Amino acid sequence: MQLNRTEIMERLRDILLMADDRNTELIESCTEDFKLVTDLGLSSVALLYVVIAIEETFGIRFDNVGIADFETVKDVVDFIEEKL
Amino acid sequence: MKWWPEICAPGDMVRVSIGSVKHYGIFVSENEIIQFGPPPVSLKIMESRDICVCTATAEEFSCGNIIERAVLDKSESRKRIPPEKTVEIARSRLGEKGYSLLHNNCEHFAYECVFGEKRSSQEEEALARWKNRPILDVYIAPVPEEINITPVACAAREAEIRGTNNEELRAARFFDWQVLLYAANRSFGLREEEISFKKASNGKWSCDKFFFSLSHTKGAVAVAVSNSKVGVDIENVTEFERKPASRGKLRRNMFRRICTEREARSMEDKDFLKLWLKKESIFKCFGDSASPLKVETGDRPAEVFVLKKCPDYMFCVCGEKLRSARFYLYENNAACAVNSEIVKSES
Repeated sequence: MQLNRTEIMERLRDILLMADDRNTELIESCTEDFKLVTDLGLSSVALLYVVIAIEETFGIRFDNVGIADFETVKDVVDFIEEKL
Repeated sequence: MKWWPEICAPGDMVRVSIGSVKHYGIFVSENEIIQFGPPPVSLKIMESRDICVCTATAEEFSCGNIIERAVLDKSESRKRIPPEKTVEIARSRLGEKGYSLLHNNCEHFAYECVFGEKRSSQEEEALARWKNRPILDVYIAPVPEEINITPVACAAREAEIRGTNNEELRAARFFDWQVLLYAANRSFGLREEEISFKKASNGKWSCDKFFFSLSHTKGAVAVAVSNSKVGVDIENVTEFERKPASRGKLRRNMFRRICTEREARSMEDKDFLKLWLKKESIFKCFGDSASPLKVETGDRPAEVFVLKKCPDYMFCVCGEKLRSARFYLYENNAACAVNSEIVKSES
């Protein structure tokens, strides 16, 4: 799958919107600097949901990385970009 | 299994909530809790390759939060491995790698040490949410001024496009198909070659992978895709108002003709466009009446919307997943989410 960074960010935003429907406006306006837990308030289950959705959407796997590796939206975009 | 903040014994499954994230381990003593990976707070102080089964003191494990102990019910107590054996298993796995956030995380590890099988309630809940996620995505797309019509892979659609003499309609049919293919990929991760499209004798298009609905008006198209029945209809408001049927006495007559008795009691002829959009989208979604004119709009999951950026267009979406609808503005071969830019049109 060939996607540029903006397209990855857009698709990640879709996933975040599905993971948590309480903060729609915040997620729609979030930038790469937003923190997943402290800014967007994602729970453990929501984070795992994001992982499943990314694995299914982008066809990649989150092996050998922990939640602590993904503090910000940027960390996730970097990881996807590297794996694609 | 319930979780209580109480005194732990060797072999207990324990967890701690760090912010909104949970971390699991096996309690041995205040100085030894065995965990798969460190608590999720030590941001990047460890390289990914260092994630392994390791020990922590209760203080390190908790990161200042309250440690909860798994209280097993009778059935779980019968199934569990004896606590001393649990400790033995956990210790034997120290240094083990192969961590996976989804498939082999700290909860899988702790559960396996206690019950002999890998399981994560968080993974199961997230997976169930993913499988049952409602999808109803609506793509609104202004038609570009210049469209280069190229052949489309679906032979039936290609024939339909080529057989359309009206230039504007031909361009719209080509363009809404492009938007549909984009939506299939964006919303369902499907490529064109993975989808089998067909056209019914009544002209309605469908496919084998998801539900969709297409609509076009002067200057824009709307495409709705969903994992349940869906219908969409879009109108250019200015163009619609220009039509003789949309004005004065004729509008009142037309309104009376398309209204059911129930609708006539709650709507006025100024709502003609909204009523028409609703009837069309409901008809496209459910197709359970002879024509859109016969559709009864009450109690159906249909709403009329306007996109703030494109106030000239009004569109109606009908579908069981309407409450979860996501809206996109498609421009220049890409789409951006615009849910916060969407307003419901009051009836």
